[in-house]
Amino acid sequence: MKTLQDLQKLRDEAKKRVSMREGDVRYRVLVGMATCGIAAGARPVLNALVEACAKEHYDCTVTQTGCIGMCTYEPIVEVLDQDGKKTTYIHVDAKKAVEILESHVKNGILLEAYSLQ
Amino acid sequence: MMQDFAMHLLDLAHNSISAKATTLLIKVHESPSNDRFEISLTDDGCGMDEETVKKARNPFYTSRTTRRVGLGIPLLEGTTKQCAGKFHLKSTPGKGTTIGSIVPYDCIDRPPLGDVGQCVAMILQASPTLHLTLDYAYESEKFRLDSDEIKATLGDVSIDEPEILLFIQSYVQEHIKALQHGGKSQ
Repeated sequence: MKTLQDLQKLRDEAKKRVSMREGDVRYRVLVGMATCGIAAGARPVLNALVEACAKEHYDCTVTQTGCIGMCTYEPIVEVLDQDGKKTTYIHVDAKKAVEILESHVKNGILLEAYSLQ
Repeated sequence: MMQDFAMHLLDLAHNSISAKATTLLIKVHESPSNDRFEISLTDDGCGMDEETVKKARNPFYTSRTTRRVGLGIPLLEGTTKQCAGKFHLKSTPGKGTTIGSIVPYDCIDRPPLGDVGQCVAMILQASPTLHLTLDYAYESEKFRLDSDEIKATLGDVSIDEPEILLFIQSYVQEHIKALQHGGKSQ
């Protein structure tokens, strides 16, 4: 079972990595986490994104946002680039979320099949 | 409808964050021997006056301006009613709010507790400055997570770093599972 001592080890690793990171990140990834999002399954999506970022260290931040007003399309993931261009991915699940990171955030290729047209 | 109680907790915690709470206490107490299952959230946010408390239980009320429905509180009340349980919501302007639900443990209509670890991690991700305490108990065995304790261990590393959040999630989940299966925490 994990203990808080394990956290200390983790802290040292995280510290090294944070100090290597410089400047702004390329993308901001937003997950809708209002009642509608959560009920539709946004929590596993957000968790998958956080998990993938911990593993792959993508050039992005993952944050939560409120209701975007398109509750029927939840879970929604928005990807914002540095120019403020926004891509809205709809009906996302944990698997699609990782694909979005791999394709859009890592390789810069939009996944049109999942995005709102 | 929320599939589990952890989803309710995560959703209602967002209310506390919107109410500018600096501390949030989440209590979960499972007691099969007393046929009792209890969750509650207590924050020190801006609170609501009596009138607003009444309105908050109406699904067609929201303090938000983007849309006209607010389902977080009514959904918990709905889940509680479906299990013939007790729902409570108390609030004092300027002091904070307590919301919770007590339902029969063995009720067939009771949703499972769900992934509290994920819920706690996601709350801390949404609001890294929040002082979050989780008080979990299974019968008389207790587990507590205090975000300030974690932050003290972390020093200048932020609590919302992905690997730290994942650690918190599995740390909480492992301890809860151990208590549910009769082991002791820590």
